[in-house]
Amino acid sequence: MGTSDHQRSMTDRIDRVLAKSLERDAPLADDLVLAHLGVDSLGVLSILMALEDEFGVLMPIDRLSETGCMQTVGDLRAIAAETLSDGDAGTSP
Amino acid sequence: MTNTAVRTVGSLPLAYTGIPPIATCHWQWVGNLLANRGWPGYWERLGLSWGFRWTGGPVLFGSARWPAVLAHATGIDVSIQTFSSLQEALAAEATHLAAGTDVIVEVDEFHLPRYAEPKHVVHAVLLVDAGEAEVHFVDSRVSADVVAVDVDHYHRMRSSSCEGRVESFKLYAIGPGPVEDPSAAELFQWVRSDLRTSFRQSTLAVTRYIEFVRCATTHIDVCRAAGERYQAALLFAYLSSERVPGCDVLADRFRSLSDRWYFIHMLSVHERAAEERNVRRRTQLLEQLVAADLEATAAVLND
Repeated sequence: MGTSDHQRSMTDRIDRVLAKSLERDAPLADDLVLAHLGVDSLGVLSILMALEDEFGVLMPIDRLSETGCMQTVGDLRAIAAETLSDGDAGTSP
Repeated sequence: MTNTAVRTVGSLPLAYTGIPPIATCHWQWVGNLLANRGWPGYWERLGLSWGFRWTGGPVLFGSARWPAVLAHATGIDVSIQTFSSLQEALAAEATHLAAGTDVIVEVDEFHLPRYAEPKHVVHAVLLVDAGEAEVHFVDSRVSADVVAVDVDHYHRMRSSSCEGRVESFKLYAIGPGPVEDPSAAELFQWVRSDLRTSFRQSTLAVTRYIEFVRCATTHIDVCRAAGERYQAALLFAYLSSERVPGCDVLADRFRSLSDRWYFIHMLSVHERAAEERNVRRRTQLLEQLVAADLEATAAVLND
């Protein structure tokens, strides 16, 4: 699989996890505000753990304690992509 | 809430309303009571001490020394009391009310009126009157209304088991005062003076707590430490607004500490908290946070 295919596959997997966690159809718009979807910080934590389950990589969940961090779907997508680009994504645990 | 008759019988002026962070609702009440006594702006000045106490088990307590510092600084007597039975608690409440002492009591939110989705979680309300048939109280998170419930219902509020109720039948008795209105600089001196006497003990307590957490697989509860740092951040923001040097930086530092303590609390109550990766994670985060917390307090003392 080429780099761009690999990235596309990873993006698709991230989107599938987000859509399933948020119980909405993919693709989800980046500017969707999680709080408006009824997702509180415990919910965001659950989504990050679901991403960990999918990729077998630890997400930087402590960043949830930073004010203004992880407010939107785009924020989650970016944090997942950033984490996965730092280390190889494994298969689902 | 269980099905019971609730009446509104009056209202109370409230300077502070809304949903305060976990483990801080009693401070909001003290701020409101002082404002009603003609001492506005005190909610932001109540975080006069912080630290740690540990009595064994999963709960990490804050120092709870702020009433002593407040008493020294302003002359007001805030007494935190717990009781081993409902009857003892009710008797103390009646005595306080008869003496004109304001009484804040811990109750189970589940039995409070006007909540769309009440949970079994501890909350603090102001007790206004306790008669033979009815009890009157105010829940500032909902409104300024004084509401009346029958005594049996109040007994359920006060005694039913709920999350966060780790000290039984707790109340805060707010005696007369204040009599002094210290300057911001004087308040800061009171804070430092208290920390100097408590820091060592506090450090020891949290060191032991970390040793406990390293071996624990059960849930942990650190929201009281989070609440104390939240109030400390408010205090430093107030001191900064009064141009006390260095307090702007301290306000940011304690706000961040509070956020991090609340985050560990949230991680600890998550449904997947017991998974190995999350147990490892909370221990690691706790170790880092305690180091940052002690360093911040040392900075207050050495500044």
